Amino acid sequence: MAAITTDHKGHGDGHGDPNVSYLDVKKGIMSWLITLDHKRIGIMYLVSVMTFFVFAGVMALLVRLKLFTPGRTIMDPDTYNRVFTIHGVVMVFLFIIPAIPAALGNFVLPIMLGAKDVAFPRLNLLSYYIYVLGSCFAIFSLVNGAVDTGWTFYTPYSTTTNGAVVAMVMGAFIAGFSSILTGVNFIVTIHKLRAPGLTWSRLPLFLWGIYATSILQVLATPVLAITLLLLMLERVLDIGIFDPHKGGDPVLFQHFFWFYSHPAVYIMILPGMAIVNELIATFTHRKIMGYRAVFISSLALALFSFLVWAHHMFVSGQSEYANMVFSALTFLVAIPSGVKVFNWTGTLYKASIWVASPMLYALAFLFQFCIGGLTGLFLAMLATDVHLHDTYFVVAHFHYVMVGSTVFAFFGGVHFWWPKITGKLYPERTAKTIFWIIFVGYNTVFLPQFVLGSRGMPRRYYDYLPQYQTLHQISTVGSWILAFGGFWMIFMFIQSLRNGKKSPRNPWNSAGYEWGSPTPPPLENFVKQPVFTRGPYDYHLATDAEVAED
Amino acid sequence: MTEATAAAENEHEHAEGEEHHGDHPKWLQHHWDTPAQQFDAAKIGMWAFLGQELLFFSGLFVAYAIYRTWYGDAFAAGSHELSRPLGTINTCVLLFSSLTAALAVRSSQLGKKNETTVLILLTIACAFAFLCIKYMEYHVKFEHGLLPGSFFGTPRDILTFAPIPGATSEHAAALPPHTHAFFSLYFVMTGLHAIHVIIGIGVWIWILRRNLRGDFSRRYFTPVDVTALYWHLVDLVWIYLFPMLYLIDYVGPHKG
Amino acid sequence: MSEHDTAVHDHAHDDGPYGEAEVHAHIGSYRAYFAVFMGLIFFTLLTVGVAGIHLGRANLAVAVIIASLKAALVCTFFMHLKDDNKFNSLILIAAITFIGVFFALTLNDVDYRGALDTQSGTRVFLQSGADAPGSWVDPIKHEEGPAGEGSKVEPAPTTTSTGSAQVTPESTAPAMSAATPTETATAQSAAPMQSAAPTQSAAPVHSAAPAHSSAPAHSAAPAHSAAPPPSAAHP
Repeated sequence: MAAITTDHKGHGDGHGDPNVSYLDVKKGIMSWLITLDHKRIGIMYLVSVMTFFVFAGVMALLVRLKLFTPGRTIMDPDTYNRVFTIHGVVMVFLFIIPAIPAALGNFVLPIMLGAKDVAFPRLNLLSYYIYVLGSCFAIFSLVNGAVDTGWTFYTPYSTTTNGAVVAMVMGAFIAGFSSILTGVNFIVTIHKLRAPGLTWSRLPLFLWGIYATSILQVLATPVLAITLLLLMLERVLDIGIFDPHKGGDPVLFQHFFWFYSHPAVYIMILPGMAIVNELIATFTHRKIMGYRAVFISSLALALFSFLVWAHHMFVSGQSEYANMVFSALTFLVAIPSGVKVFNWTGTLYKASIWVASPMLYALAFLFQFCIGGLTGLFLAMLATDVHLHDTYFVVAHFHYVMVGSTVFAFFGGVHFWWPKITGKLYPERTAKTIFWIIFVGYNTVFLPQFVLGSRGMPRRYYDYLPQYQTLHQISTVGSWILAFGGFWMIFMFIQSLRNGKKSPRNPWNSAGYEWGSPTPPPLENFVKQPVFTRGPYDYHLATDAEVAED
Repeated sequence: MTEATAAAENEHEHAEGEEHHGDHPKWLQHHWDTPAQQFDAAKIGMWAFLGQELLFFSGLFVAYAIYRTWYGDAFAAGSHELSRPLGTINTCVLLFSSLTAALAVRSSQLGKKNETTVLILLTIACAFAFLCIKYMEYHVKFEHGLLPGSFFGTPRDILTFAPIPGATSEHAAALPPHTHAFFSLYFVMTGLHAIHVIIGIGVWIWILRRNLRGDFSRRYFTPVDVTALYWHLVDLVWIYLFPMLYLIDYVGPHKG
Repeated sequence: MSEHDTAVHDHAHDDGPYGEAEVHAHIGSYRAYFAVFMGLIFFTLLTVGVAGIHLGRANLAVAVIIASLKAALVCTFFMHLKDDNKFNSLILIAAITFIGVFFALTLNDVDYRGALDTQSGTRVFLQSGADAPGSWVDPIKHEEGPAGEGSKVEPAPTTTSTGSAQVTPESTAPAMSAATPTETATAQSAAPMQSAAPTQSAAPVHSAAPAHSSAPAHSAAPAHSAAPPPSAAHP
């Protein structure tokens, strides 16, 4: 008896032949640009975010190259300010926030639910084009003088500096609405489009993560929107809400900004954690230890993320009460994060682990997330934060969370679902080699930055004292290794698209729901309406046929 | 566009009662199994969207709370520059439009197409009335130079935004310091609200067109319902804006 | 409200081919909707009336309570939350909760700046030494309260010109954070960064800022020691 049976009342309403993959249903560029198929929209997102990732990555390389030696080398200070700002803004608003939910989530979420599409397919396409519109504003800003404020756009500097601040802020403002609408879409989809048998307690943990993320996208992003709107009005109409000359309070801008941007950190990390669940379960063939604890911790992280924003502002001059309250609340975040790491480690304990390339990324995630998370506690401490605030320690900390965790999970997810998305395999040995290059390169860039920061090297500085040079040089060399690995990975995937071997249905022998459909899936994802009779990690209940490659 | 194409045919099909689960009515998108599922999804989606709208406006209310605490007398003085009668009338107009919107949903639920048309037209009329009154209020503020931030104190023409030659700024100068902060918030809050009203008018016109085309029936009235939800939210925001902007009592003696 | 007396418990349609899976919406009666509307108008007139009575600080509280009652009426009846999927109410409650968090934690900052360490949170206007917005005002010394204080000691309002008053920026980095000597004068550091950068292109761009100011945007923040003694803020 197959545990995933099909409902024979399937709706033969003539939307696509179930034997033709979604890639072959229609051809031509227009069939992509106006598609309502969540899978194609997901791929359009994937291509877009990867484009911005490469672009912003090159900016990071330039920053690191400049920092190879002190003094003026490849760029002047104003250019340097613009380059690191572009790196930050593009990475945050155009790459990492849409990367996992909008690209991979869009592709996988309805398939995992056994649904034909997301709840609002047209809204989904609209979200994509809103994202594109936002990117256009950002690009417009880049060619019109760019922005030198840092990605945080702090007032009063952002209201007085030259450059195309309004266009860039407008870009982030618009991209925010894309994020909101995607969140709305996913919440509704998870509520209303679960296949028969897919109870909440069987919901794959990837979807729990996406669900928690969507709540944040819906409830936090609008505050960014109003903040950026006020910033634009401040610049254009000089309304004075954040301007001390007119009785306004610039620190209020920081409150507004971080009320969104701290939850935004969880918009970035929660989907990464969500992917890691799927990877660990698949490559250990085990149920994730403490399923309930893991999904509750996702929701708890979403909740706590709203309560801790001003820990970014300990030295901003805000009240001491606020400092103490936010410091205490910040430590709360460690609890659900710890629960997750504990459960993942528990799942790995004494398991027979298949160390495939996606799993390597998941293991690296565990390692790097621990570093990123534990150094976060240093920064949550009021006393240590005064010393470490705005130093390279902070830079290293959040890159360990954003890159070392989220981006590694994203890479893991791309490797894991690549056969599902494209129907092609990639060379496993090459992928593993690339992983090790990226892993070594990444840690070479950012581990020295902890030392730099704790020795007092401030972040965002164009120049530095000679005693910091060795560590800066190690970091810069690491960036070259990382870039080499990154470009090789992109090349590998392009090669796989052109002449990769055809993938079997279930190349990883996973019991996950998404592998129950053909690979690559047909237009409406399943040949017939699936009915789920077991959980996504119930390897003891999965039949041999289900976890077989074909 | 499936749902928008033709409901009249659908109604015909349904009347014959030959439909079974395999044949979706045209307004039921292909990925939904049942009308109830699609309806519930639309409602949850709209409520989630309204949740984000509330958070969107909340930022302004936080700013309002802070600056009102700091500049209490300026806020009271600024508030007394606003027209309470016009504000009250506008509140009633908007509440009435909320009533007609709710009744439009009711009549569409009952399949009363003509009644729905009338009620939607009433809603749109109220929305325009609201905007007209708002324009009159803005007009006075512009003429007195009661403008946000650094524009405060300079009387301007509302359409061209050019300073009015010969006009004096005495009116604004007599107000306490930081009254410009009140008007910054006043214009941003009411302006954003007005933009929501304008968007609402656009959506209502689209709904009206679909209603006239006969898209809606007792089985399918979702777009009317969710549009009304949005419209009620616009009303909700105004319910808070009105007392906070128009009805501030003096906090302390006026030092003007 | 007389909702329950007058409501007609009709449902939008259950005779379609989907039976139970057809849309089942509660349909209220005309009278019920009108009753709610009259209630809203009543509360509107009430709030206008109450605003004329001098209640001091309670005026705002009363206004917010009445507005919340009106909002509750709209949500419950016009927006059908009474008969709706409970999840929709949950979304509303969640949104309101997070708005509450937003208010509470932000006001916890701005209402208490410098409450414990009066020097750290005090901001003054450089030229006059008067309190700048956001300063903590000791309620014992200044019985008039923050609002009256602010407007009393401030220089003449500079509402239309931005250039004249030299104002300390809001972000006051802790004094000990100036680990590297801050060689620039306060006046220069208060100027926007882009004007300082070209003249010192060989030096670090952020030399105008103390080492630990919270962002380059705050490069305008002088080390606190460079500002006039905070005691000047409390004449």
